[in-house]
Amino acid sequence: MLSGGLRSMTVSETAHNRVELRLPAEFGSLPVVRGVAATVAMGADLTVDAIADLRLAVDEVCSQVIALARPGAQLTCAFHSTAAGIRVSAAAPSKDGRLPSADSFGWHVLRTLTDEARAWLGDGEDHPLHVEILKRNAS
Amino acid sequence: MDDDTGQGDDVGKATSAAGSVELITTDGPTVLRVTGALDLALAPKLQQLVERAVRHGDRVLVVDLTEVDFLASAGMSVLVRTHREQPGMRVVAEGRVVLRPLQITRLTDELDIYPTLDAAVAGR
Repeated sequence: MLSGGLRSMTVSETAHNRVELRLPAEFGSLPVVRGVAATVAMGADLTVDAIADLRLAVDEVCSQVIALARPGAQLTCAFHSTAAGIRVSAAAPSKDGRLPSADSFGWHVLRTLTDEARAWLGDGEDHPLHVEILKRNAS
Repeated sequence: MDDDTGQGDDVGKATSAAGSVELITTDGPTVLRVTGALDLALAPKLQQLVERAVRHGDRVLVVDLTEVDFLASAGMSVLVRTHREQPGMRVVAEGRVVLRPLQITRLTDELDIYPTLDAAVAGR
């Protein structure tokens, strides 16, 4: 759709695009996360549908982390927009060391919407739960 | 089952930071009107009001998503669960914001979806 020149300009502008949020790990933080997701997606020059998909995926990533976070914990959500695509990772101290269920409907939605989705527990006494997705740019 | 079923007092409402659910009893189907974001915060409240309507013996439920501006998996899970337990559930959904998540998850094939509240109430 874009000429080669325009495409490379877009790439260079988004190559170092990184946004990080720190919010209470509560359901009430989700509207803020969705708003930032939409802004990042628009900055990455995505289609209307791709923006909506990213907003849904990011909401799901953070919902998964918040649901398993220790009460009163802080949620970190980072958006990293590169030439290859948008990587989003969220983390918070875990409530009980559980990982999201890979059989759940929410995880199914996450896999459907993204090219990569994974969850793991980090080291450290907080045992932070991490959930990360990658949405590749359409080629 | 001694719940007060007086029509006027039978309106339930629940809200979250970014949305609300209202239970409206009519002469016809019971309507659950959802507005705003049907996300992890609001989905449990929709579930509670669905259960309340079912306890009252309402067989035909209409979940009206016309004014929903975001539909998360938590909200879709409630729709699926309700549909499996209450096959008479009808969903009002129009517009990309709501239809796209339902299409991506193929729930458009499973749920009984109507474009308007009137059509859903009439069942056609």
